[in-house]
Amino acid sequence: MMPEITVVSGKGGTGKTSVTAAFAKLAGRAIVCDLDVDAADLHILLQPQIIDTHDFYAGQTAVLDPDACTQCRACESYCRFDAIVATAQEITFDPSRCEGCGICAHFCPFGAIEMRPRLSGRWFRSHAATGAMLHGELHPGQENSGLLVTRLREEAHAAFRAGSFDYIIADGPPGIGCPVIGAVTGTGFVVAVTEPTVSGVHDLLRVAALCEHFRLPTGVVLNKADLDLPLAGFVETFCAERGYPLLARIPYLPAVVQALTEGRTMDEVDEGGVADSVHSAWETVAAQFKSSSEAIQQVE
Amino acid sequence: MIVAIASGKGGTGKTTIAAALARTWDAPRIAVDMDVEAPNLHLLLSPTIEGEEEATLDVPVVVEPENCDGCGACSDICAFKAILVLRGKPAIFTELCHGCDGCLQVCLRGVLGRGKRDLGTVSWGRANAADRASSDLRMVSGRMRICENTCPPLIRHVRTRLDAMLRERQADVIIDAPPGTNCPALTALRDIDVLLLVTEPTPFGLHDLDLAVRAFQSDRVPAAVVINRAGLGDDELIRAYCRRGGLPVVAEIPYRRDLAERCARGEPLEAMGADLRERIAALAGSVRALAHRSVAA
Repeated sequence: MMPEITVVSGKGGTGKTSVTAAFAKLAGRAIVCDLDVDAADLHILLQPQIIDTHDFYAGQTAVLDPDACTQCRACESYCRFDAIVATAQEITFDPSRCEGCGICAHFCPFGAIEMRPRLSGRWFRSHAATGAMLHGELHPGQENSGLLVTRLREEAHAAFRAGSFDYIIADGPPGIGCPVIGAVTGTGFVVAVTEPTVSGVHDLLRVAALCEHFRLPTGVVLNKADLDLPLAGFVETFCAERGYPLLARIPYLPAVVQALTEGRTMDEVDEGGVADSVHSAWETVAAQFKSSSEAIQQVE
Repeated sequence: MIVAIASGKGGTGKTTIAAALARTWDAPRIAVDMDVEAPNLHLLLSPTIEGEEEATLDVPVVVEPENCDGCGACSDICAFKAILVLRGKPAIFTELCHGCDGCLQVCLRGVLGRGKRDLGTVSWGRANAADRASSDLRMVSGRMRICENTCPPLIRHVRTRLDAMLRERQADVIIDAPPGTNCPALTALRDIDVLLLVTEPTPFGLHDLDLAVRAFQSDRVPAAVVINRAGLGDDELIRAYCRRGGLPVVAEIPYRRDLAERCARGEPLEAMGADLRERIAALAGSVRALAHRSVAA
């Protein structure tokens, strides 16, 4: 199994990126990936130097040739996405609604519609202080974030096989939909970062259900752990019952935000034992892979 | 009037602000949760659910396998690789289907019929307002099925339900949008009158505010910014950004430990003292003024 660690949360703003950046520093020889291609933030903390930039094409988009169009409106009747708006004067295509199915082009009696590859974003191969980094950005309004996530992971896996790295550490997107499924499928270990708030707990249950469906080994980081003790207790009980290791309890301190503002990561924050919590969380995560490789060696 | 509360970055306080506006709004209103992957607005508004429906997407199913001659037209037209013809018969990977209907259109032998994929649920009901005198607060929210891949179709179902409720009785609308700057957020922000962007004074908050402004800015919809957790980092960074872009900062919610603790428990923001109550009231006034600009334009 690839020693790949993916940090998710369900709810946004629980501290995924902060935890990922700290793990990246502690992991030694690691490839770091920012899979939150909708709102990538990891580069703010890790300040990578971009080595090369690649255009990312995903799917297609329908383009109308107005000279060949006879305004018959067949395309409008086939489109299920309301991407084609026909008025008495003209037919216009809305690229933000077009899903690239190509049915309009297939059925246009005059061959007036062409399907063109859609430039959806860019991705970067970079070098950060922590080592190799892969990250990307989707152009505003694009779909296909899941495909860019998959592309970044393929690049990370190829780099891992080619180089001498010990881990892949990925900052996942919020939510539980397409980009999250793309980020966690087949990963080695999921770290779910949560907080003791009603929303944080609610969304932890949803992301945990997703991980269970895909049978992914999962651990939990309880961030802002002292914000509400009963809710924190609920998370602890939940982890114990489901067998999720509770990797860390990180206190809610303005000093953590202050450090991030100055470009320092959680492993450098001594107040409230933050650095110690993050260190021991990383030790527990790393041990998951040691124990599985030892088990494989014993079998062999 | 439809106001949407969005942000590039998650966890900045969209739902807290949306709930406070919805509870204190002084006219009939509908609060809408379009963050269908991680829906949280109901936790703050505790609605009484009056109706619920399964939202589905039309997808192909094999109904007459004997009729198939293995021509492969259904597989050839599918841009999403959701149909493979294996040993002369179509195999459908429903989860990959976008519902374009192309395969049904090209199959001339009636092999395929229309089936449904479960996207999640849309539920609606009535919530308690802050003020008993203005109790006309309805709510509608979407909740995506775990393991469902794509959320825009479910968001469109929520919008359809909202439009039906508006036809039943006119109301203002407060939308809690999903985070991010791509298709889920853009789907939620279609046909709105005012856009509120919630941010926080951290480098992440500023960076993602800029992404959101670039993705969502439009001449048609006036936008404004709410700075949450003001004082936690460098507020001036955000204010300066907003000044440069001509974006009004219509509210600042101060960072205080006790507020964070009470928000964590889901307590109403506007009930945390006269100062906050006034800030929310002023925010509502600003939203109305912006909506007026939108209508005037």
